[in-house]
Amino acid sequence: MAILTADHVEYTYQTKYQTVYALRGVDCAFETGQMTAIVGTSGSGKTTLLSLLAGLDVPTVGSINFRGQSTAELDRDAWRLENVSVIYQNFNLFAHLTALENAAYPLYLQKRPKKQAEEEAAAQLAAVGIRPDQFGRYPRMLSGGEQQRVAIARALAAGSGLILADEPTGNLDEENSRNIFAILRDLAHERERCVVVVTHDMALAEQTDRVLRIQDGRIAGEI
Amino acid sequence: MGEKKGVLGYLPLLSLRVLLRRPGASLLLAAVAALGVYAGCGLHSLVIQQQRAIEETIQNTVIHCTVTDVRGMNADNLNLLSPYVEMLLGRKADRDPSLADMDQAVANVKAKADWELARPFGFTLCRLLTLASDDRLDGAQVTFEPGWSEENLLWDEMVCLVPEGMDAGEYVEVMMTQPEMHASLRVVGRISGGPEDVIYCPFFMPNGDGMSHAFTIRSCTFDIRDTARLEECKEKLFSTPFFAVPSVNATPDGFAVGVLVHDEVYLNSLEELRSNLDMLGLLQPLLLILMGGISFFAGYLVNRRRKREFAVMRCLGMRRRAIFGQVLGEQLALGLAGGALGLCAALVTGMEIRSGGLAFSGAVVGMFLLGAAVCAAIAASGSVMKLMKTEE
Amino acid sequence: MFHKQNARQPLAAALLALLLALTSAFSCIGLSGWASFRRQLAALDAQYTTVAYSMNNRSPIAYNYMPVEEYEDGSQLFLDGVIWASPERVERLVKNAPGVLRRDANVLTAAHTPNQKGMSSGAADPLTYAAVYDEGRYAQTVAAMRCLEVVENPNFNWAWQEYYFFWFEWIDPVCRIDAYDLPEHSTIFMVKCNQRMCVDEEGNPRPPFEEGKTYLMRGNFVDFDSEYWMRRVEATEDEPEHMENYWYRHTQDYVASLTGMDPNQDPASHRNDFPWQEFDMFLPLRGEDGASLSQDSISHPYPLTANFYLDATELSEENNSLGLTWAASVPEDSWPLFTEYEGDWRDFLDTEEGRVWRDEIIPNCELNHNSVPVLFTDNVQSLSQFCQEESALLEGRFITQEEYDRGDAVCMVSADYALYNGLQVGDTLTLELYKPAYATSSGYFQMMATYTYFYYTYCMPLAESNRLNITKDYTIVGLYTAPVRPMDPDGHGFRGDTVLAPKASAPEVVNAAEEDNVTPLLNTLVLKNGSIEEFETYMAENGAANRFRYYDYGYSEMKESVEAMEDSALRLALLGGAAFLIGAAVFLLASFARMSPSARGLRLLGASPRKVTGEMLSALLPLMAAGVLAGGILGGLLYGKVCEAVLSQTLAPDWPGLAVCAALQLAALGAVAAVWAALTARRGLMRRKQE
Repeated sequence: MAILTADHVEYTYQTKYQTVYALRGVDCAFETGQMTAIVGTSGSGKTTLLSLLAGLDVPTVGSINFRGQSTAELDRDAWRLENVSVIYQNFNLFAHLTALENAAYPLYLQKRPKKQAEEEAAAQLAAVGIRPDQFGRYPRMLSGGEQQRVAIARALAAGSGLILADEPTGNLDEENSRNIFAILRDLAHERERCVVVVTHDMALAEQTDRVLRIQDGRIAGEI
Repeated sequence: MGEKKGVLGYLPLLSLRVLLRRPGASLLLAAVAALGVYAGCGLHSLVIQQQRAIEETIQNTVIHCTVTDVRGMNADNLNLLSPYVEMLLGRKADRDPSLADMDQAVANVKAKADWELARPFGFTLCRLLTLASDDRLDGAQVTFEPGWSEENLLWDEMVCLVPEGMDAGEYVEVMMTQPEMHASLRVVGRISGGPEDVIYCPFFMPNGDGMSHAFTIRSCTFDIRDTARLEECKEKLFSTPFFAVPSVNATPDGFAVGVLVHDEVYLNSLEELRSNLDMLGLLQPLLLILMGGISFFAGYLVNRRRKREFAVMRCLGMRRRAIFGQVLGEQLALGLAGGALGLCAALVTGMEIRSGGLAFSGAVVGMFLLGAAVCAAIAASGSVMKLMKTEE
Repeated sequence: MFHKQNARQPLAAALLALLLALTSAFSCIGLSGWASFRRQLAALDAQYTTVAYSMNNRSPIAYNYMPVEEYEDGSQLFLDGVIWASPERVERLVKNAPGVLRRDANVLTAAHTPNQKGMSSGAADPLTYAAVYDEGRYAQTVAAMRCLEVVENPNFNWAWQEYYFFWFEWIDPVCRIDAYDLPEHSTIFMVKCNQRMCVDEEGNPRPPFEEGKTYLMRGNFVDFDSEYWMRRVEATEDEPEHMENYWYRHTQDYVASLTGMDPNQDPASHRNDFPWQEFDMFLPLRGEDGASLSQDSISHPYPLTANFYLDATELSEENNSLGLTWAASVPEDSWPLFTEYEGDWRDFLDTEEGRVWRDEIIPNCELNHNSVPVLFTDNVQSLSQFCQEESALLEGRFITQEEYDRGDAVCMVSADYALYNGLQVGDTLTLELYKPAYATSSGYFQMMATYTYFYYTYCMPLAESNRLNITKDYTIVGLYTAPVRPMDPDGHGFRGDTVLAPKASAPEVVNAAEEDNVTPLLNTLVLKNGSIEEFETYMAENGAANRFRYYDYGYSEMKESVEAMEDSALRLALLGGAAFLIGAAVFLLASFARMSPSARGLRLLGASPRKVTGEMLSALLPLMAAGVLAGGILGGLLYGKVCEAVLSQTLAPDWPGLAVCAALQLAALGAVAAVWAALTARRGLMRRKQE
């Protein structure tokens, strides 16, 4: 069942020098328990699509619908908090928070008591392979793979049904990349999450359930 | 997902803990706040201190006046008639209404008149207003009989003070050569360490015939009663037809006398002090506006580095309001800590904390918060998509 | 690269520059405030003069109070432990005493005033004797007299007493200052002569005057009773008028001993000096009711020096009937004291014998009549009478510090002198300057039954030998009220007609003056304001307690305000400094936070650390310069506005000072930025895990 759909989504924005037509009519749907990869060349609009799916903005034309409701009508902040987790290529961890605090951050945002939030975060960190002795480390003390795991743990801890990842392995070596992808696939399959991954690495993309190719702001095909 | 939720949650506390993990920036911002508060309290306190010091100076300064002729001369050779002294003492209001309350304008009138005595032979009778009126009594000890005091010299009792060594009983018989006068004066005190041949009596003591006659004195000085009301006192003095501002070109008509008010140095200094106070008063808001500006920019620029952090918060679903609140909370904490530090510094360095100073400090810290808030507001309101694309 | 960053993010760059500008403006204003307040403090300080006057210059020795020990420097220890420090000791101590700013060495001289009349006592008030105007120069007189009778002193009993009394009749005043009342024609005076004028070469009595003959005589003539105890002349029953008004002529050795004048020093000076003789005319002044107003008369010595010199030959007491041990003679070129004439004295003046009277003695008399004492000083307000408010500014203003420094030809005259001569503030007073010639004297001042010791300084008569041939026009800037007394127990008094002028305005006079550490009037010790206590403590610790009287024009009352101002000045400076430090730190932190990723990028591209440092600095420096410059200008303008509003002359923005301040700020900022940039550029390129 598709919990997230993009209907005729177009997205343009104005920079200082030009009008960028990032998406020119995208239609697609994402289902729970499925891991989808969006591939495309640089500038093809895949990150823009992911950001719109994450509710960071609303499409210029068309709509993004979550369980049938347009994100334009939603309280997107609250929606993101409850339902969406985004994982970035450069991890975007809080530099001054420890691994545990970073992972627990969405729970703090949900105003969970500290202890409860940290137990939950610790469980998620353990689930993605972070050792307890690393819980207290700041991001700069962790390797790239470890940082990304913390980012994933943060996404998991939030308990979101929708996990969106933008080039999550872009900064990682092959082994780490495979591991991260494995974790994400497990999330989709075992925890019944809807996972969407943007990548340009076809080899990794092939590990997903479904691959959408995007080109010049349009879906060029499904592999 | 747990169901249990706190009212505020752990996040506010965490953000405060994070402040300690960024000591450089936090210290800098706290220092800005501290400086702002110190400047606010300090400048205000300086104005107060200076104001008080000036008041003290005014209070402590005694403005002396010398009676001269109308041309400003002959201060020691005035042939001044004693009624003028009465005028200065405010006792001649019945003669001229302008003399009423003269004693509110002047104080410490010093006047004396020496008369050679035929009896006791070799003695001088000195009429004096106060013991301070005669230099010869500097350092002398006066012992009054019980029930008598220096006050009595101001009134017209037939009493006298005699030198310690003088062989006098309860009364002294005095006889003057000019004007002719014979009187029996009650001895109310004895003077040691003063002149051996002077008998002192009240300035306005009646002559032997029981009547008060005008007599001549050589010189007269007095002080302005209230230096804070110098101009008022001078105006009062010179509004009478009897006292005038001396001028070389004035014509002595035997009616008015001149009064030299020795206030030049005082007035010049006061002008300088007042201009300093004015200056400080004007500098205070100016410096505080600048300090507010510095605080604003410091708050803004330091938090500007955290744009990406704010974007991540947004991505994680934090509301703009919440981000704004968190930043404001952090800055408030820093502001309070810095402010407390500034306040302590102000106290330690002897500044006086007054509501005005606190208001100024509050305004400066407010500017500091505003800077941070504007930055947070801009960060929170911007497009998250753009923010996330910013590599910085 | 970094320039582009500035250009591409103009808002950020502008904000940074603005922060720096505000910071710089704040600190510039703080420092300007500090500098202004310091200037103001200096101006305030200059308002006040703290002076220390020497007092108790004479040992307190008395018949029942004798020292138990005398020290080498002349100081004395008394039985009760009191030490009287000699002037030598005081002089020595003052040199090292704390708080002494300088010793104002005033210079006293007299000047000829071609356009003004000299002011004697009678000029101020014809009915009252005022010692404060009384100077011997004005009393110089030539008179025509007839000797009526020569009487041997029946009470003669010791060597220094008058041996003869001479009774003279007044014929005419030949040359006399206008101010004095003329005695009536035929007034009879008694003239006393010192023995030395009344002895022959062997020391035997011989009167200088003969009965019935007429003489031109010169001497000091005053129309008031100058010696209190001499007023009580016993009138004889048959000749009461004779005794009421008489001319007293005597010689006084003690004057010479007091003045310490040595006529041998200047061979020509004695021509102008009066010999051991004096004309004292006892004309008790009369008030409107005819009563005597002379009761405040004082003992008033005149500038007398001998031209009857003591002979080097000692006379033996047996040799002369008067028991003199010294003979006296008159130098050859002395002006005569008296010359006998016959007929009308006007005709006599035209004769060869009368030439010296007509061409030399009388013109010199007139020169002295038109003269005025001049006190050259560095600070009128340090003079004792001004400190004690005996004298005060009546009109105009005091001489300014700039005028003292530049030596402008400005002066202050007493209101009485101005009134007498019709002078006003702004008028010109022409002074023909003479070398300083003054003497000090002392005595007892009698008021009623009380005697007070006094000590005073007076100008000697003008003499040709002292003429400097310098004439200067002085502009009168202020009139002061004449002091009450020309003398006080400590010797700081000056005459009531004295012209007060800056020392630097007459270097010739000052150079001709000899250093005089003895005359109190000429030596005022100027202390740093507020250092009285420290100074007195030092003097007391070194055995010279109570040797100074202090005046500070009320500075001590002002002290609290001054301290508050000092405090304000310091705090403003500190605030400015602190604001700069913090603002600059924020600026640098924010700037380098912006630049460091790009710096790393540049380094990764292979740029050397030096180049990256250079580029960072070249992008930062214009920003800093712009900020600091804008701040300096902003600070200056705002401060200027504030100063304008305050309307004080001492407060004004000091633009050169601001420029220096801004330059220093830029330099400091640049130095820190350079270090910071170098450290940023040299940071390792490897990203390491920090365990």
